[in-house]
Amino acid sequence: MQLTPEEEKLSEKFKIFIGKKIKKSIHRVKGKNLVQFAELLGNTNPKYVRITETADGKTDYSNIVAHPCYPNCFTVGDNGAAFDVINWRFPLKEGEEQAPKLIRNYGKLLHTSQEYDYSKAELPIQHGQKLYTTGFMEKAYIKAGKLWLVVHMDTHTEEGKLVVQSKVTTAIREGGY
Amino acid sequence: MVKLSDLEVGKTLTYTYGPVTRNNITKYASVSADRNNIHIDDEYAAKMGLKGVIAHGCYSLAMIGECLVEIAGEKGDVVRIYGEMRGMVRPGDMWKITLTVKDIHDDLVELEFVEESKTPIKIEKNGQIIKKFEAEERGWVTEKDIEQGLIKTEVTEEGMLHYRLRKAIPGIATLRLER
Repeated sequence: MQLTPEEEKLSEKFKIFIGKKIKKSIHRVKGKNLVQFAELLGNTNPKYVRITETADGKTDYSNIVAHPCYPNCFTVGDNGAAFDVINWRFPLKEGEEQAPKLIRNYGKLLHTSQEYDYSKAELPIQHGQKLYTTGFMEKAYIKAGKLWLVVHMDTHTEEGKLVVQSKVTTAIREGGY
Repeated sequence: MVKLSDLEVGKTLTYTYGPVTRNNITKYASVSADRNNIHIDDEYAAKMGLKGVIAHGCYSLAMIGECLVEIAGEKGDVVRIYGEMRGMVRPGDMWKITLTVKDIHDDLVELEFVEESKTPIKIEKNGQIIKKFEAEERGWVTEKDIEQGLIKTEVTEEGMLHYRLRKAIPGIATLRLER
């Protein structure tokens, strides 16, 4: 990624956000949602949608794992860990009543890349888990008139086992930052 | 499901999914809890300069995930998926996913993929337009699309279909496959 001298200059004021941690978020995995997510994509693979019944007639989700793109549900979106960035503000300057927001208009935000990486995962994502997502701003810069933000996230179970690493890139169009 | 022994470096696989519907985009918004109005409300999306609602980039990426899951089968695993959302996907589009095997070591397969959106524009018969799709009605096709040669035609039962085939998500993935 090459920035022009002008873009380097414009990017300067966003550097204070690089390394800043996002608020730790909690997500309770519900088997019903795992199935809904997979089925919406047309999935019929038993590994993701096979639900059975326990001896006492209750739905048993213990045999299924999350679809590989399920982390979308807790990393981006309204309840997603990366959504914390929407609330970030520049430091308050003297004479200002309220510091300006990093992202002024959410409607101008486009999600430009996404990664789900299970290569270091110790456990699959399953029903009943309480997942904790932590992360930080890896990059923040101006390129081609847009503000690009890259957030890295690690998701662990309550017991501290890594389940997935995610990375989200967004581009905020002019008028949105 | 694809077995490891069925693959070799350079092999290409193609899958098609869709069409994208407003109903499914709304469902995805609900299931993924990503309720940005640019995916749900046509009027709001238009105000934001988008000419109507667009599918979530993550929805289109999840369809690639679905394709990978189909390849991996019950015993294989998706180890990693990375995609760049380059082109907007809208209601009416089909997803065409082409994957190329780049490397195989042990039971791990490295793939490069490109997901394209196939957008129907109009159908012509005997020089007359007999059907206009939303892309034609709402001006989704741009001069740039035409200049770049993205407009194609194909013969269908109804007549000559004009459509746009545009890159939506290129990316890479790693699968662990059953031998």
